[in-house]
Amino acid sequence: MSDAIVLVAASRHYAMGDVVVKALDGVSFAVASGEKVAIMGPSGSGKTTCMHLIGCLDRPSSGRVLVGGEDTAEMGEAELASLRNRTVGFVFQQFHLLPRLTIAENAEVPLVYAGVAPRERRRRAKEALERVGLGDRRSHRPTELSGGQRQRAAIARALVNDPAILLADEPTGALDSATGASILQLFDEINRAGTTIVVVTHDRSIGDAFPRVIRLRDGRLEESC
Amino acid sequence: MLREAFRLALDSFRTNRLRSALSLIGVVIGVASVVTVTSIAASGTAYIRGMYDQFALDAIQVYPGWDRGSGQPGIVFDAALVSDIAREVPEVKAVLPRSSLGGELTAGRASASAQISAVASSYIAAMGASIELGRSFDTSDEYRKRSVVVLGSEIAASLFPEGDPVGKEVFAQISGSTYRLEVIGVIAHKEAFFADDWDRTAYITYSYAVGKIAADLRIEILTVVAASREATLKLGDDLERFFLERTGSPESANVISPKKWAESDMKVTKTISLLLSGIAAISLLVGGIGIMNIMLVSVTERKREIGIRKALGATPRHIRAQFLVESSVLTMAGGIIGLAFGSGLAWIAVKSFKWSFVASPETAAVAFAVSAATGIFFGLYPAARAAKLDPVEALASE
Repeated sequence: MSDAIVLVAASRHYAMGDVVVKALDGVSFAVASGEKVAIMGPSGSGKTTCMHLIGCLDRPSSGRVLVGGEDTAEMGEAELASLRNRTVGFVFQQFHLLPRLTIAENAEVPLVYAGVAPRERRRRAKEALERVGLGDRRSHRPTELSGGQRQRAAIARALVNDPAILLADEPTGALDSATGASILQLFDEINRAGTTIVVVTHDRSIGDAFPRVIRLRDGRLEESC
Repeated sequence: MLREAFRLALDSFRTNRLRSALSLIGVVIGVASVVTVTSIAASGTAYIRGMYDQFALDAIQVYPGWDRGSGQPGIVFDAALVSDIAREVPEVKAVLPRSSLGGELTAGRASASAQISAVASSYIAAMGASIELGRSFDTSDEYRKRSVVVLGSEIAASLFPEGDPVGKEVFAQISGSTYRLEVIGVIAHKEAFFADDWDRTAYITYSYAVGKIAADLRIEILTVVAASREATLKLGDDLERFFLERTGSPESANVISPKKWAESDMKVTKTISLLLSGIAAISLLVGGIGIMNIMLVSVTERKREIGIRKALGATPRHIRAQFLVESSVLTMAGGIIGLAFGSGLAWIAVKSFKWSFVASPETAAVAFAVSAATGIFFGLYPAARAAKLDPVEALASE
């Protein structure tokens, strides 16, 4: 199986005045296509920075990051945005749905930027929402939905452009444990359908449930299994 | 993509109605001023064109000025001058003399006091007047000094209330003598312009007047007809130069072209236009800055939305387009309101000048172009700021 994500001695340094903060410091690992991985670590460990690099929201200061086989280090903003659009689906702790749009419209947004025609967009958004069990809530706005439903809507949006990687940042952090469990179960189903899943979390129970956990501490890899 | 941006823009106004409306006031005033100026200009141009068409553009009239020192005419118009103008001034088709005689006309029991004008045979046609009944003079009338008269429409109506006067006779009493004249034609109604009060004048030939009425008749006005319409503009200047060279005084003769006549009317409009253009420029600047300000506020408020959109694959270009469309839709809304206000204002102004209002599609196009341009220009900086936002930072903002 090919690698969905490869980090080779990836570092991300921030200059804070005279001090250089090494948020990520020479981290190397690979995630195979179709894998389900949790990236864990306490706050300040560099796991959020790691997620930004994998999600093509940021580029490494040094080293290489390959997402879907493409090297992000030398990419311009527009190329990065396009790679993000095609390859990565984001799921956030706070859902990050656009409040003024219905969830169907929310699910269409990645397709708008992919240049998909309106009719096709509507069809695929409907399909994605049906897949997460929100087929009958398409015309609701996010505020009319429960937390769990909102997270499902966000997952539908992440999946709508059929990305290779689903990247989730503390996806259960804002949910009660039962709802959180159902979200994890949904991830499981999505993973079984072939999508690589990377979850960034400090929640041990997620780590326990995942076949592979990448642990970070102080910007370095703690152990890899 | 553009349609999306358009929809987003409308959506964003719905949520910020008051704020959007207030930020538009400058643009509305600016566009209204632009519309007022262009509408007045369009109506003014139409008015001048009307003047040209009504008063033969290719005819220029000249009358003697007065010398301020001696109180005498600056130059005497005589047969020699007529032939000199025809010979020395380029692109002249004809030089037509004209004099006025006061008098009383009678026909049967009806009588009317009238201006009797002695003119060259081609004068009536050259001045753009048309014949309603009968005919105008021909060269043989002039050559043979025939006792014929062409009547203005009002005179014709008062001397011949029962109708067609052509072929009938009228008697003109001029300085104590009576002359029998045959009516050969009636001039169609025409607004008075400069020396000619068309409806209330009876025209006889100049040669008849000199030969049969007053040998010492002085030419009051010369009508100089240009070889072509295009040559008229230059002809006015050439005539002024001719008189200046001949007499050494710019006031020896007055050269009146319909263009000059109309232009003096336009001076007022030009001043108003200039003033309004100033207001337009200033209010568009102020309005534009208002738009820029509101767009900057909007970018700051919607940082997180921008972050989310970027995370979902929006390129900087997508974000820039979104905000540019938003600012130009905003200003174009201002443009529509401004167009309405400005048209109203122009209508009032144009009516007060007694012109007819010309609604031009150009004006609407100008209003749209100006307002869209304002939105794009002043939206550029906020849109660039939004496009440049770091997605990580934008996502983290509240």
